[in-house]
Amino acid sequence: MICWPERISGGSLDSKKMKLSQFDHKTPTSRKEVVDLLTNLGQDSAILAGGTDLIPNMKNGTLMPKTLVSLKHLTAEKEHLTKDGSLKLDALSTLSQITESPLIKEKAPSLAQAAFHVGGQQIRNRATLGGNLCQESRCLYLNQSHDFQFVEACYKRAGDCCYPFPDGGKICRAVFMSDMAPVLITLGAHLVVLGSHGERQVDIADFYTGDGLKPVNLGPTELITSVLIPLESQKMQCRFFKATPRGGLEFAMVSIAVALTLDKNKKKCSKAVIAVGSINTKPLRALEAEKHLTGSLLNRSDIVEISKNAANEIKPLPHHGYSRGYLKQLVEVYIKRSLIDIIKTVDNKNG
Amino acid sequence: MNGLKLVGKSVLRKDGPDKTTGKARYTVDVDLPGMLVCGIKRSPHPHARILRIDTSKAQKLPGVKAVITGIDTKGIKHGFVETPRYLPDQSILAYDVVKHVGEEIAAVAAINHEVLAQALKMIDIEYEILPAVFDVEDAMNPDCQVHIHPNHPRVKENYCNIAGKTQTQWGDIDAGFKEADLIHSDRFESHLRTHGYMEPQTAVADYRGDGTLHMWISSMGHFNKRKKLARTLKMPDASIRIHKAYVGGAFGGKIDLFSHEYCVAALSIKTGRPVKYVASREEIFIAYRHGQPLISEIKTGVKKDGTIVAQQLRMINNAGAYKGSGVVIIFLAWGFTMIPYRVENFKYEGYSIFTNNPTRAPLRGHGAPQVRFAIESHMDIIAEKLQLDPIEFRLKNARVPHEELPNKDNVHNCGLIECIKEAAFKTDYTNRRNLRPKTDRLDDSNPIKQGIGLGVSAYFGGSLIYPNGSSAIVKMTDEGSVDLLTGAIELGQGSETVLCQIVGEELQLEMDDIRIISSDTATTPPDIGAWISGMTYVTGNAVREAAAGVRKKILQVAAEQLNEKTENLKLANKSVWVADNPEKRVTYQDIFQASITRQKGDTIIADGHWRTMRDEPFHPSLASTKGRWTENYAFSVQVAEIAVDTETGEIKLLKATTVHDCGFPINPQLVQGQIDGQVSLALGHAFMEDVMMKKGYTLNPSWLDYRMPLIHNVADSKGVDVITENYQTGHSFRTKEVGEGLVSAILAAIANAIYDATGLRLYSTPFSPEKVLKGLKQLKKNRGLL
Ligand SMILES: Cc1cc2nc3c(=O)[nH]c(=O)nc-3n(C[C@H](O)[C@H](O)[C@H](O)COP(=O)(O)OP(=O)(O)OC[C@H]3O[C@@H](n4cnc5c(N)ncnc54)[C@H](O)[C@@H]3O)c2cc1C
Ligand code: SF4
Repeated sequence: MICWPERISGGSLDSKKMKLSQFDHKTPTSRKEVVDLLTNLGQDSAILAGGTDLIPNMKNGTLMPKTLVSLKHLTAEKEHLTKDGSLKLDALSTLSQITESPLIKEKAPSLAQAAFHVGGQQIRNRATLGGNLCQESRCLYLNQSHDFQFVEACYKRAGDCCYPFPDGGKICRAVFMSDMAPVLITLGAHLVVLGSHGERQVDIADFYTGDGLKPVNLGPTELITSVLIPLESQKMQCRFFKATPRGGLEFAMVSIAVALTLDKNKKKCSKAVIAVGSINTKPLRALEAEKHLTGSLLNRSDIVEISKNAANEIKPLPHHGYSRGYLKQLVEVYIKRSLIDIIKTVDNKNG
Repeated sequence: MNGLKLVGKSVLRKDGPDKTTGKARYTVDVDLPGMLVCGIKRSPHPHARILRIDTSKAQKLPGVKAVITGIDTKGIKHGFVETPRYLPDQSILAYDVVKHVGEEIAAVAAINHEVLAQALKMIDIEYEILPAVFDVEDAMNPDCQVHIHPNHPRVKENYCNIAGKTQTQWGDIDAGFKEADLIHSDRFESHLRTHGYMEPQTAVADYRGDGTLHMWISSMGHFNKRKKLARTLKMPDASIRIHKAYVGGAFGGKIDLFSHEYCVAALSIKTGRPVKYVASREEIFIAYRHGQPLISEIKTGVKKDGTIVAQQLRMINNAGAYKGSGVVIIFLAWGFTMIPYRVENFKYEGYSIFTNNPTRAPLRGHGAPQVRFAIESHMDIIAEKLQLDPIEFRLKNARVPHEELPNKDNVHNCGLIECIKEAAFKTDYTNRRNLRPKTDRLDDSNPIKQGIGLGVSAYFGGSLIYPNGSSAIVKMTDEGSVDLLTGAIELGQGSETVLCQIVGEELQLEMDDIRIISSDTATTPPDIGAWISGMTYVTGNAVREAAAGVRKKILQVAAEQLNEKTENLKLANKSVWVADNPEKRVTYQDIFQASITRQKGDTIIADGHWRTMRDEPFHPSLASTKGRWTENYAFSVQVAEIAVDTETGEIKLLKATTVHDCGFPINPQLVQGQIDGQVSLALGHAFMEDVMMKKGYTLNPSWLDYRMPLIHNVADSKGVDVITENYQTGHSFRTKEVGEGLVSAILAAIANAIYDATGLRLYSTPFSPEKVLKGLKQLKKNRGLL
């Protein structure tokens, strides 16, 4: 018998699993053209930026756009300070760029940090800021192909059930897991959105709907062109913490962003924003804790109390196998650690 | 070391250049002209009766070349175990009832994946949903209304869904407990995790006009696969050729016959075209086989001085929908219990229970991690109750060299006592454990608590499983190099390297002088397979015998050529010379020619064969444990140093020390690789890996949501060899095992270290942050701290 190794050659496409359904692909060269295309194509189209969220969702059949409007021929403007001192980021900036930019690291260090904690290096090289802010929400029952289990479509896939919360009511409680969003909320960022009706600015705090079926407040013809981070945020003490089981290449159990505006002697807090990501259908605010912090002098014993209260007011959805109670505990610990870290920094600067 | 040339040295891997340059071919790379792609229609239900299957639409779809269903494969049964007691119970394709999500119902061959996906959707199946049971104790409850299979006919107890039972005892268990000063019981549970092999399950079949079937399979042993394929396809063994391809990891998950392997073969026979199947990662997570959760109930009687006088165990295994290796793990669990410590009075019962979960497979360690986690935690609990030093307690009961085990096996040069002492010494164990005041465990000043823990394990190597032995052939080439023909399969463990080292040692050749032809059922001799931790021992010794045969022939011819006695001859650098007259020499090349001309054309070929326990006909009974098991027990002790964040529940394994007795390390770096690999596997088991299942469905069927450790999670791992076997050139290479035993003690060590750090005793895996935090909270409540 002879050997047949000569018949073994490199793998062809056919021998691999190719599960992307067919789609049309447009490559506009201006933002205006993007809007025009979206206007003409209607509901069945989607913007393709880095594709790190969209393509996996198309592979598993969660999304099935007929046309992809790719942003790959648009050039991203470099991040810079505007006349009024705001930091302006192009929505097309990749998360790697954000991680590495000296300007961002100086003016919005917590944002650079959050970007660094997204996925892994290869993902950050492609992932864009705009895509991150508009990513699909996630649910264990959703993020798989439904080839032979969970075949019956849930609300999110235009069906009529919900697996983890079978209480009816057409409510989807998939969790919104962007790491960038909570930080931008604490920084008071605004999104510049271009659509068929022209340009509008929206406070990122109003951008998230809390509706699992449609988590972002974005019209079918709209795209985010840039993100503006106001000057005042640059003077704040900001922190970002992301809790994960293995410390990399994964979405958060909880992510916490904190920004405090401190008075001159760096002890009294005049404004506080605390945003908690990855535990509900949108990033949540710890409003009571913010109120408590505002106008008070920072000290450790208060902080323990404030963090406890923050965990009480935050209402997590159990997700990805983590229970409500555990997520609350994480919220408490990471808010505490963020605030203590701020005190430490301030003490060092003062002392 | 002993003037050895290659063995005992960390020579470069034989498969290294192929793999690092991307030249290595795996089954997924096999691409034949005209090849069709195969897909499998699977059950969406955990338990349902199939009322009707309609494939007519799919069959008519252009591009679909063949469809098979349970009607085509009716009556063909296969199983991980195929014995008179445990008959094969799996169908290739289900035709009446499906018993788990993902069970195979139909297979399609199509010209491409687009057509395939469409065709699979077009297969219309009507089901009657049946009630299902998932929890193992619900399933065995006598009142359980779900009967997945009839109870095993030989087990008469009043339980439901019994797939099998192992029971054994010795001494007098009641008398033993009467003697005890302390009787303590515990119950431990382990969870479901999976192998995480990189190369998916895949197979290619190419049925040729001459009636031969050619296959490439990502497998752990081609001869076992071929046997099962031949039997199920009703073809002679010799008509099936499984070709060599590298295997991208297996860890126990690719042993027995899988439905897709039969299906590609059947579809190739039907269409006359090559057919390929590659499972998606989701299919692997949802429908294929994972490891096995065990419940371990242990009751131990101990004298004040630490002598264990009685031990009673009850193990329960959630086998899934078919027997799989569930009826093996309850046998092995007995073995992993009885090896390390002496217990005069002993009773064991192990139950394997059917549930509507996917069938289970071995997973590196095959029960040992679950069992050792339980027993070593239990040992520490008892030591504390009796105020004994945990090291002394273990030493008191540890097996000693040349001790006979209750099953009449002998531990030979068992290094357990040395290992325990060495591990304690190397890590300053006793001081570091006792110096820490117990009261600081839960005070809140520093939320990070450090702890140290120890565990003991032992593992068998190379016992009897089809084909029960390995053969090898070594043949010389005319320039004096050699070819090694072995059925051994390289799946990353380094078998090709180690086997070449052995040949090189016998014949004093360089690694580059040895060409290895492996794992091809048509051209290489049968091999036991890359499981039961026996390849270096069983195949290694077969290879050594074959090489020794060649060496003998070389010396014989050289003796004639040089007119000298063989005892006076030495060999090196591909030549033989007279010991006291190095000028008088003859090269291997000349010897080869001389052999052909003088020895009736003998081109210098020799074969070698090996099996464990040549006087034992069979593997011991899975039901009664009677019969000998192996002559090869390796022992290990591992120490874990950890840090617990008591606010978040996160634990980090800072350092793992492994002291082991693997016999002679043929390649020390490969041994260290095995240690590091097993420590990181255990780390995943301990902290993050968890196949989340709900009602038979898998919630996290992806690499993103099933978390395996990343490089930064991997602990500093240190290996210490306690080499207890005396190695001499010319004697059998007394290797033991190092590929599976070391996932176990470290898991137990981590559990004991958590207790040391925080006072929290965990009775179940994984040690997830959530569980740790919950436990700590309870502990604080109990102590009035909350
Ligand atoms: C393995 C893995 C790990 C990941 N880990 C994380 C993580 O830790 N944290 C995290 O936040 N994310 C994570 N992600 C999700 C994703 O990679 C990131 O959110 C990423 O930033 C998305 O950007 P993108 O450019 O690739 O988006 P795309 O996939 O191109 O787009 C995502 C969505 O946004 C829309 N969109 C894109 N750009 C715009 C725009 N300018 N205006 C309006 N709509 C737009 C698209 O139509 C699409 O609906 C992970 C993904 C993977 C695959
Ligand atoms: S939470 Fe939303 S995505 Fe998840 S199953 Fe329910 S409807 Fe579907």
